Order: sequence, then structure tokens, then C-alpha cells
Amino acid sequence: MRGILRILTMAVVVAVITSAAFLAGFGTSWFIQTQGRPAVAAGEPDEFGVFWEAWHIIEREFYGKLPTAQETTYGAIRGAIKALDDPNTIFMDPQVSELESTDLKGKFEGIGAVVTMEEGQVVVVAPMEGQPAQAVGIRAGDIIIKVDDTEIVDMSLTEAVLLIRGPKGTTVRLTILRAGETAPLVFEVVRGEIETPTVAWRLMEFKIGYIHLALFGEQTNAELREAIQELKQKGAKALILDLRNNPGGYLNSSVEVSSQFIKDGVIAYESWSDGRERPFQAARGGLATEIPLAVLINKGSASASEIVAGAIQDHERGILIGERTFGKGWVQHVHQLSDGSTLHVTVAQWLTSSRQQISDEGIAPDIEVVLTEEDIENSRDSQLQEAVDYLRSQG
Amino acid sequence: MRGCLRLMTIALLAALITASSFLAGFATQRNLSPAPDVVEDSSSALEEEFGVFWEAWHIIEREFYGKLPTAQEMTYSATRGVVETLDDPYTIFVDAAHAELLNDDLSGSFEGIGAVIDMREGQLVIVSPLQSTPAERAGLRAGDVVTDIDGQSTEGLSRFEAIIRIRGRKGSTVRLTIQRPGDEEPFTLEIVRDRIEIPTAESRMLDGDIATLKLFGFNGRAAPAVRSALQKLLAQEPRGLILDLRDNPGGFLPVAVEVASQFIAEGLILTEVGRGDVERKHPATRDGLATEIPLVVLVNQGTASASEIVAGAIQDHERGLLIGERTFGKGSVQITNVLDDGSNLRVTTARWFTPSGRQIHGEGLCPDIEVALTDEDLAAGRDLQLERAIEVLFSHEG
Repeated sequence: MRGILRILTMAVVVAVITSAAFLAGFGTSWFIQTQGRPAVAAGEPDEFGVFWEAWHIIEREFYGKLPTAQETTYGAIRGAIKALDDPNTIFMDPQVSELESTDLKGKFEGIGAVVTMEEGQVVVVAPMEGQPAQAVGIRAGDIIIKVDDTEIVDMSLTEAVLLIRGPKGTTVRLTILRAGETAPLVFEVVRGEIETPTVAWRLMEFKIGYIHLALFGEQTNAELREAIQELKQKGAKALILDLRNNPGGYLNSSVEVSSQFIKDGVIAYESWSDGRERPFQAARGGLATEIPLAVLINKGSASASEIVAGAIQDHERGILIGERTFGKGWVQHVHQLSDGSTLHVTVAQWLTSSRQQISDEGIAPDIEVVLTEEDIENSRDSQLQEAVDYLRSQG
Repeated sequence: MRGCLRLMTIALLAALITASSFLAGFATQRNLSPAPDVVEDSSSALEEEFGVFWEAWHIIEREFYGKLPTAQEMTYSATRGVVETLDDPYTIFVDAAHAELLNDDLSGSFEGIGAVIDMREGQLVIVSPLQSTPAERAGLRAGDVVTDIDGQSTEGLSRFEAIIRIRGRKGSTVRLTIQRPGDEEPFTLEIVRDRIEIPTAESRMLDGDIATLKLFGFNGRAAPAVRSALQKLLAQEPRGLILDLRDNPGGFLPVAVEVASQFIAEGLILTEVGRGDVERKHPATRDGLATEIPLVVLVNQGTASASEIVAGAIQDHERGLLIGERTFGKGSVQITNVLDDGSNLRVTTARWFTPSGRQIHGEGLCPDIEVALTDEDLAAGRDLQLERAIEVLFSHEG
């Protein structure tokens, strides 16, 4: 279930997360839990009276169907946030919040299929290898129309995905339309725990180890350490760290990842609007602080990816190859509100260890290699090739 | 809290229409009771749930990196957020500054460029530039798509928002990026705004004793203008009358009743259905000047709202034939509420139905005789719809 969602949510959501490390470790503890509700009228500025004046008119007179109190409240919050004119300060309702947090956890409970929304229909992009969906015979291209007894037409992808997901060991019945079949097919799938690794690695020729980071989640650092250890055992003499199209994730994860490559010193600074700064120091015990290193970046490398790439560049620890990065240098705090929705608030920007601002600028590669249309058509990865050539030339 | 009952509009119309200076005369004035105070009215379900809003906002006030908006900006923005959840393009919040810009309409003129605009399939389209206005002098043409206003995309705007952006003080400049049908590349026009006098009605006699009456909108001056035009036209004893409602975006509902009543002697003009299916019948005013003369009505997709009331009543009473193209399909009624701080809230309060009970909303009226107008016709100055109307009136005679 999670692959595409991750891509979707990552694109819109996780790209903007990078929760602050000082909010403490992993899990949900970095959420700020607000206890209790403020009294309704407490703290309302006088100007807000116009809001209620408008609402009472709507409530009394509007001809169409009135939204629920919850929808209205969320509409007001989304509206108020627009006044901040900051695309990174966002509000997520409880459902979207739940998906986002499982995305970063590195595992979820469900059937293990990547789905997307096409023309209002929930379509299976691919069943995940070895997972329950594949085991029962769900195929790419299948259209899911019913989950148990609930029609999912007109549902958002988020709502549909949350219906399909559920505790490990429970059964979900999916009604599916498949091209070539005249009648809908029904599959009963027992949900499992699906791990969604964020790190993939392999040993390439010339004893070059290749490591791909999809995002910076809770398990990323542990997975990365495992990858480095295994590659070193297999005799890797150089590493390529691929951060292309990595939209970011947790800020503390990016500091940990940087610390695998950088022995000591400052990784990045968090900088508040009042001029205060907080340095993030490399943690000791990095596994790859000496080995020759090339980092692949492109315009999809954002946020936490840029922290890592920036630190490696500033410390002259490795060479950056590819294209200029996205340029997202803002830090958000993620607050869980009392009803389960979350609020991501831009609280600071971060600077590289040489105090360069990242926002809008991005990080320029040391060696620029742009993927051409021709490269893409021929599935030729000229950026990866450049990294290999570079590392070989270093002896 | 003064409200006036009107059909849709400033949106479609702001460019053209005007609310009238005769609120007292034609538009129904409604005195709405003041909104209950927040603290006193604890019964509202929203207020029970609204704690999360302040929870979120207090976090933002405490932590947000950038500059915080003023309490007023935040309030307006939150109100717009709520209005958006209603999913009704005709229910609109307009803040005090912009409400003032639109209330200029009350004087029968406004400051802008003088083009009738419409949102069609998500695109901002010039329906027609008004004669002798900056829009016409700059070379804007019917059918031009405005992709950007002052460099900002028009995508996703409501008509109303688009109008607010195009309008501005006389002497100031607006930059429009235009995609003209048939052109490959868009181009940019800089237009200096001016005071635009809003036309109401135009009448003349054509060869063959055919009278034409073109109505631009249903503002407060429209009904007397129609009556005086009819008096002059009828004095010349025409054999038939063409009522041109093309590109007429509407206006006040009572004005529509008044105008329809000039052609329909008696009976129902429309039925308004409000909250809780409460019906309100609007009968003809029984003071019609042109209830007998052979009549045809020209309509097109720019015929909206109050225009559709008139055309629909004429069609249902079989008082005349509709010629042209399917109409816009706006069958809802809005009330404009002036809030305490001068901002405006226009709320959809009802739907209306033709005398035979047809719903117009989203449907439009189908003409009795369909005649399309192509771009080439327009460019060549040929009006096939008008020509057909003349033919019909002659055959009626025969």
C-alpha cells in the first residue's frame, strides 16, 4: 500500500517535514501534544467577531448543505494559515496525519500493494514482492472498487488506503475490476506487517558501494549503518550516496546520517527569526568517515537531503554530482492537536555549517551532470556513471 | 446588516453591472437581525468544536518564523476558508477594502477597464469589451482568454476574484496576459483604468418596422429604462419586438420580475425555493407595456441569472420564442450582507424555478430555435441570431 503513498505524501508532505531533532528522538514523541482545549472564546481577538457574524449568517441562510462543525473548523484553520503566506506551514486532518506518521515509521500494517488514484479510481500500481496482496493474486492495473462492504468510489486516496489498512492478522475483502474480466473479482487478504525500507544498497563493479536513501525516516540511520557495514565487509573501497529525489524527512535523521560520514564538527545550524542559532554537531562513531565518497543530488533532493549534501560539501568529505538541489531550508515543528490533526509550523531555517542559507538557493553540485531526454529514454544514468568514473579516477 | 436580494452577480457583472442606487426602489431590502454574540450563543455546534482552531492559531502565534498577519487578515482568511468549505461559487466573502471597490457600482459607474468577463471551464474569458472603454481601445476582443492579471495566474479564481483584481482606481494600470484563440503565443496588454459608465438598455428601430431592445443588466435603473424604451418604441408601432438578452449576466431578482412583467400580462414569473423548501411565488406586476406585440428573445451562454428568469418566463408562458444558444444556467439567489466592519458576505439563500417548475441551475434554458454564432461571424460583424429573429417576426406576421 505504502510505496506510492509514500511518493505522494512525500512529495507534498514529508518534503516539508523535517521535524526538529531537539524535540527528542524517534517515534511520535517529537510531536508536541497539546493537553486540553482552550475555552472557545478565550483569547479571541475582537476582530474575530466578523468571522462569527459571517458564520451565523451562513448557518441561518445558506441554501445548500452545511459542512459539519469539524469540516468548518478545518476550513477555518486552512484559511487562517493561508494568511501566513508560507507553503510549508500546513494543517493535516487526522487521517492524513496518520498516514504521514506511518510513512516515516518505516512499517505499516496492511496488504502490501502500491496504489494510486487514476481518474477517480483506486488503481494498483504494483503488489509488493512477497507481501499478502501478491500472494492472493492481486495484479498491477487492478481497480479496487469495494473494501469489505464499503464502496470506495468518490473517496480520496487517503480514505481508501486507511480502509484497506488494518491490524496485522485481520482480513480485508477487496472487490476488484480487472481488464478482460466480465465480472468483478473478490479477494480476501490477510493483512500483515509490511516493512518499507528507506535504504537500498548493492556492491557495484570496481568495488564501489552504492547506497540509495529514499527518505529520512525513523529507521533510516539504522538501515544505513547496516548497509555500510555489509558493503565494507564485501570489500567496498568507495561509496556512492544517492540522494536524488529524496524529499527529506526528520531533521534529526539527517544529522545522524551525516554523522556516518563526518567525524566531527557542525553539520548544520538552526536559525530563528530573533537571531538565535543552534548548532547540530556530528555524533561520534560514524562508520564511513574516511572512505572515498560521491553524493548524487538533483532538484528532487530537498530539505534533510540538502542538510546531508551541504555538510558533506562544507567538510570537503566528498564530491557532489548531479544537479542543483531543491532549496528547502526551513524547519517545521509538527504539533499534534487534541483531535488528532497535525499542524506543521515553520519555526526556523537551517544553514549549512558554513552558514549558507539553503532556501531558494539549493546546493550546487561540484560536478554538474544533467540527465538528458536521451539518457532518460535509454534508461542511462549518466550521473551515476560520472560518480563511478570520478571515484575510479581517485585511485 | 443591511442586505439586498440579488441574483448572483457582481461576479459576472461587476465588469458590467451595477448595483443600483435604488436599493430602496427595486431591490428587496432585508433587515437581518444582528449576529448573536459569540459568548452568548453557545448553542452553535461549530463553537463546540472550534477549540482546535485556537489551539492551532496559538501555536502559530508562538512559533511561526515569519511575520504574523494582523488579527483582521487572519479573520478574513479564516472566513474565506469556511466559505470555501461550502463548495458554492456564489457564496463569497469580500473584505471591507474590496467591498468598497465593488460598491462603486451603486453610483452607476465603476473604475476599471470596461469588459464583461466570465469564467468558462476554469478560464477567464472576455465576453465582450464595452464600447468606448479602455478595454475596447486596447484591442480586447470577445473570446480572448486572460491567463494572467499583473503577472498572477487567473487559474482557479472565481469571477468575483478576477473582477477585484482587474478593477482599480482610475488612472492606474493593469497588465493582462491574453491568449487569443488561433494565436500561438500569448501577449500582454497594459490598460489604464478609467471610470466606466454602465450602460443599461439600448433600443432602436430596424428596417421593416422591427423594434430591438438590448438590456445589459438588471440593475436598479433597468426597469424604468426598459419602460421608457418600450414607450418610445411602441409609439412607432413596430410589427414585432426583439428583446436581446445576450451576454446579460443578470442583476437584482425583483428587477427581473419587473422587466418580465413588461411582456407577460399576468401569472407566475418565477418561484423561489429557500431553506426548508419554503416557496415564494413571484407573480407578474400587471403593469406590462408590451404584453401583446409579437416577441422574440435572443439568448446565448452569457445570458445568466436574472436574464434567465425573464427568458424562462417568456418561454413558459409561450409569449415569445427564444433564439440563439443554450443559456448559462445560474438559478440561485444570493443575499448580500454587510458585516460590522464593512466587509460583505454574499450567501446563496435559494434556488429559483421557472413558472412551469423547471430548474435552471446547471441546466440553462434551451432555445426554441438554435442558432450558433461562430468566431468568423463575429469577426465579419454578422449577426445570424438577429437575422433569424427578424425572419421569425416576419413569418409570424405572414
